Formats: sequence, C-alpha cells, structure tokens
Amino acid sequence: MNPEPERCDILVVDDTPENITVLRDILTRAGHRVRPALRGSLALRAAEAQCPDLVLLDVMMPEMDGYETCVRLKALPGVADVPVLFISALDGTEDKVRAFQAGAVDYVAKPFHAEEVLARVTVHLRLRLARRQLARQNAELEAAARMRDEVDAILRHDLKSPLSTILMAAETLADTADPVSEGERETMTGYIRQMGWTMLEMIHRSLDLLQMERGTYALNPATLDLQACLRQLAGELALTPAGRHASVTLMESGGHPWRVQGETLLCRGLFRNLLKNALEASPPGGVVTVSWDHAGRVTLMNRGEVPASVRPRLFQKFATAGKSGGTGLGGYSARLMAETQGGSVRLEDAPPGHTRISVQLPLPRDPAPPAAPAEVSVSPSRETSLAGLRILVADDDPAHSHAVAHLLSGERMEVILAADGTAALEHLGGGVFSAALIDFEMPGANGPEVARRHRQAGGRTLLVALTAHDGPTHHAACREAGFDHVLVKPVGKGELRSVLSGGSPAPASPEAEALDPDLVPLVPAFLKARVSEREALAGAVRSRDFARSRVLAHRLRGGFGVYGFTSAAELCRQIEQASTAGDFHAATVHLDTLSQTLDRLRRQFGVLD
Amino acid sequence: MSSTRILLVDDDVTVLQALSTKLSLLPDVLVQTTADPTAVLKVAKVFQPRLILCDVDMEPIDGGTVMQELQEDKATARIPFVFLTSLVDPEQIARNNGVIGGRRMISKQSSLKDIIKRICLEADMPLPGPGLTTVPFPHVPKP
Repeated sequence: MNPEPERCDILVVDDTPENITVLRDILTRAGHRVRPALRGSLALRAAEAQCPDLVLLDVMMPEMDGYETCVRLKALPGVADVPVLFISALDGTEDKVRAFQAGAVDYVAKPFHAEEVLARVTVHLRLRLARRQLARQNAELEAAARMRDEVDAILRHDLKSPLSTILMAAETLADTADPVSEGERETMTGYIRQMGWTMLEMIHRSLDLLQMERGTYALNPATLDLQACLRQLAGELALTPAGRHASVTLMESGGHPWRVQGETLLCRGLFRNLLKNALEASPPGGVVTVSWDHAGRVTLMNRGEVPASVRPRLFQKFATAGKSGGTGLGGYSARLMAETQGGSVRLEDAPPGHTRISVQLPLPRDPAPPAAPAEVSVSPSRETSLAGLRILVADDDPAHSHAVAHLLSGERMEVILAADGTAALEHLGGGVFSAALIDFEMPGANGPEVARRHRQAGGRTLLVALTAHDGPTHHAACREAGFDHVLVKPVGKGELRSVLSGGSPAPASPEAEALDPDLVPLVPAFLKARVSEREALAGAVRSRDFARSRVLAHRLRGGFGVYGFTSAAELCRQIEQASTAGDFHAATVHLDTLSQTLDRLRRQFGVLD
Repeated sequence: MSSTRILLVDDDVTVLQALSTKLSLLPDVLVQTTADPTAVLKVAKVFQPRLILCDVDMEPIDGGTVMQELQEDKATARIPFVFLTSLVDPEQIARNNGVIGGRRMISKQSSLKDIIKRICLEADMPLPGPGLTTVPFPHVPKP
C-alpha cells in the first residue's frame, strides 16, 4: 500500500483572491502547503522557482487564460508530469475537452465543494506519488542490472589470462601426434590445477565485488605478508601471455616482511590487476619493479606511459589505454578492492616514458611481531642486540647507502647517512658514533682518507670500509688507513651485524663451511636419500660391477657437491676413479671412509636412525 | 632482463631441491624443475624458460640427447642451454671460460654460491649478493 501524500506543495492560480483564500483553507487544513498566484505569468515564475507537486488552475483569467498557462507550465523543465486540475465556471463539454487537451488531469466545476476538491486533489497526489515510486524502483533495478553486467565484464576480463594458460597446457596434453610423457603430464596438470583454482577464486571474488560496489562487503581483515602474496602472483603471471612479454621484479627490503592489514584474496585480486596492466603496458622485455616503503605503501613502476587523456580516469570504469580487447575494468576493480580494505590506489608522477602507481594499504593494528630474519643463521647464538647503536653510513651512491640502511632497519639503531667523504668527516667530528660504514671511493675525501683523518684527529669510532674490491693488498691498505674492518660489497646482513656487534665475520665449522644456510632445512632429507644410494654403491663395488659403481659414485658426487659437502664429494670422486681403473681395493677403502663421513654427517644433523 | 624463468633438469631430486631453493630466494626468478629428462622438450615449450640447466648423466636419456631434442625443435632451439655436471672440475671450466667442447658447463663441484652466480650470468640476471643488493634499481633514463 502506498503512503498517503502529505505536506505537498500546491500551486493555486486564480485571479479572484476570495477563491484562493477558500482553496488555501481547505488544502492547508489537509496538511498541504499552498502557494497562491493571481495571474498566469506569476504562476509560471512560481513553478520555475520551485516545481510544485500539483497545480489548481482557474480557466478564466485576464492576460493569460488557464489553457495557455497550462501549456506553458508543462513546457517548463520538470513540470511536465506535475498534475494540473482546472477549476472553472464554464461547464460545457467543449471547455472540459479543451482543458484536457491543454494537459489537465482533471476538472472541477465552480461553484466547488470543499470535499470534492480535496478528494480529487488527494487522488492525483496519490497517483503522482505512486508513479514516482515506480520510476525510482525502476531506476534501482536498472542500476543493479548495470552493476551486475559490469561485474561480469570484470570477471570475464580477469578470467582470460588463467584460462589461456589452461588451454595451452590442454593443447599440449591433447596433441596425439606428439604424446606426452609422465613427467610432462604432471607438469601440465599442475598448471591446469593451479590456474583452475585461480579462476575459482576469481568467481568467488566477483560476488564480493558486487557487494563492494554496493558498499555491503563484510571485510574480515588480518595481518598478511604482501611480499609473499606478490611473489606468488609474479610466478603465476609469468605463465600468462602478459608474463612472457615482460617480467616482475620484487625489490628486496632487507628481509622484512611487507605487513599490511587486509584480506589475502582482495590483495591478490588488486595486485593481479595492477601487475597485469603494468606487464601489458611494458615494452617487450620490460620489467615491472615492485617496492615497499615500510609504511604500507607498495609502488609499481614500469616503462610505458599512460596517455594524458586516460590519466585522470585510470582507475575509473571503462578506461582503456588503447588496448585492444581491454574492458577498462582492471584499474577500476583494483581501486575498488583497495578502497574496500581501507586503502587507496594512486597514479604517481614518474620519469618521462614511465608509469608509477602506488597502493597504500592499512598497516597492522597490532604492533608487528619481530620480523623473521631473511637469512637463516646457522649459529643463532651470535645474534646479539644492536639496539641503541648510532651508525654513520657514508656512500656517494644513494642506492647503496639506502641498501645498507635497509639492512640495519628494524634493529632500533640510529642510522645517519652522509653523501660524501667531506660530509662523513663533518659528522664524525661533530658527534659520537658507535660505528661508521664508509664507502671506499667517494668524492670529497675517499674512504681511506676519511679513516686517516679521523684517526689523526684522535677519533676512536669503529670504522668499517665498504669496498667493491677484494684482495689482500686492498685489505691491507684499508687497515693501514685506520679501518677496523673491511667488508666487500654486496654486504650481507649477517656480516654487518657481526662487525657491528664487535666480532669479526667468523667462519663456521669445517664440514659446514660450504653448506649454504638456506639449504639447512633440506639436509636431513638429502642425507637420508644418500643412505640407500650408498648401499647400492656398496653392492656394486662388492660384486665388482665397476661400470655400475662408477655411475653411482658419480651421481652421489654431484649431490654432495651441490650441497657443499666437499670432503664427501671428493671421496666419491676417488671411488669413481677407482671404478674406472677397476681397482677393487681402492674403491673399498674409499667407500669405507665415505660411509664414516656420511654417518658423521647424519649424526651431526640428527638423522641417524 | 627480459625473463627470469629457469628450467632445472636433474634425475637427482635433492639437487633440484637445493638449486630451486636458492634460485627461488632471488627476487625475480621463477623456477621449474623436472627429474624426467624425457619431459624436458614439452615442459620447455610451455614454460619458455630463459635458461635450461641440465644434468648430463641421466636415465633413460642423457643430457646430450636432451639438448639435441631441444635444438631440433624450432620452439626451443634458441633457449640457452647449460650443462650442470660433476664430469668437469670448476678449475677446468674457469680455465675455459665456461665452455668445454663447445658446450656451456657449470660444475656441481663449485660452491653453491658460485653455481648460482654462474646461473645468473648465463641467464643474464643481476648477480646475487647476500643481502639487498641483489636487485639493481630500475634503469631510469635522464629526462
């Protein structure tokens, strides 16, 4: 049921003031607002100033009669569908027809009855209200349909790239002229599975997108590591046509996770779109760099320029930069996903020929747990706190000094940067530093000169030379100038920490000397697999199958070599040689030693059963 | 730097694990591995790597056969191919500038750091460092 019309704005037009008074009494008592007009021209001005809800119009008026007033009223913008009721003493059928022809909806004869006038006015106001409601509902329905179309278009657009990978893999599998092997089948089905999941995720997300547009999306944010998310996306995109054309590079940030507060799926969708656009806009062989500023902002930069005409509406619907087949929704849906998470997407100023886009996302509300170090340290006991140190970093290359500052970030140290040797000397002379990291070659005063002058002035700051050169004479020159340590670029966090905490970079135990810390988690499984291979090797040697023992020893040697177990690899080499020579005795002796070495390693890594 | 996809081929899965672990830590590398030498051609066609690193002694076909297969196919003939093997010592390879018998080689007996460095050189990628300096800042021409 429709609501009753109330407090409506009614324009009453009559050249007789008494009539106006009577009509105003009737209508105001019913709760409406009445605006009187004594002439047609005044009625037009009143309607123009504010569109009334209904007009009561006398027919017989001087200057401009009711018919003409009605026609001219209807010509005013917005007034066309305002109901006009005629009131007239002329009661002929012809007069009534003329009134309807002029655009009236009803006709009241004079002398009128208050109840009749009110009843007719109410009916027409009610009709008008219902008509307006219908129009509004219609518009809402149309908007909803349009929105769904748009979301569908976004979805179609985003689904294309994983689908193309699936098709490519399927074509390969289906090629009967060139059947696939078991390993190929595994790889191809792997692609299909991965991309299938990606597509399913997108479909789920499209429903969310609709809710985001309506502002009814229920956000459920958590702390997440954007770097991991971006790394995975970069890998997935590399399999798509856009990823063949150009590549994505994540800038390292000293091993600190890129923590933000958001939803993984939204971040994936957001960056998938932006990265894909950036890859497509890049020239062939181009690189999209992605960097992090530690404050929730990720910056994407690529070669290729957004046309000036598109720039202001890059993140609006249907903005394409001359891309054929593009729907222009990638940027828009990215913005929607960023804003839904309380973030934003911006087109930043970039050097000519480049595009730079920044994404700001909220930082985690809780203080982040201490960041896990990127490098696995074999001996965590060396981890001492560097909090409170004041460090000078002097390097004329801002990229390098920022790199070093990044390595030290998160350590609660104060880091001061100097752009050349002169600035470094000024800093050293004017303040107390725990240590100074000084580039070897700088304008103004080079590294050794800075060290020499600091020492000559009686300075006792710990001085560390950062140098691109290696070699004993170079090191000796640094020490002679007064440096306490020499670090060869690129400098790792571990060695930096080590010198700053007062030690010198210490070598690990002899056996683990060549073992890469990143491989430590893999070693137990590696050693277990070597046991059965050693058994096979021992069997071949025992049965004097030297062709077999040569192959097996060679294979063992490769694995030991890659993992850095050099002494075990050397023993394998000797078994290989003995096998080639058919020397049973030598092979047996070396095999024994190898067994002992392997057992010792298994003990060391806790996998001796 | 146009691509960062690297395909590793070795019938020893632990070798694949070690190398892909290290390579995946580089910021812009996508590694695909296979322990099945007969799968290399198909995988390479779809994966389109920037570099293929392949073991020599494998069953049922050896690295040389794999290379031949790749060279006979138009889609893969131009992908740089490097052998990773224990057959030659690092010193031998260094003396010959990485090429032995007309073939590019990396020794399994090199340190892992050197192996990764060589892979980066062969794939035309920036050299890795222990820390941040792995990745150079993007080249921005002066306006």
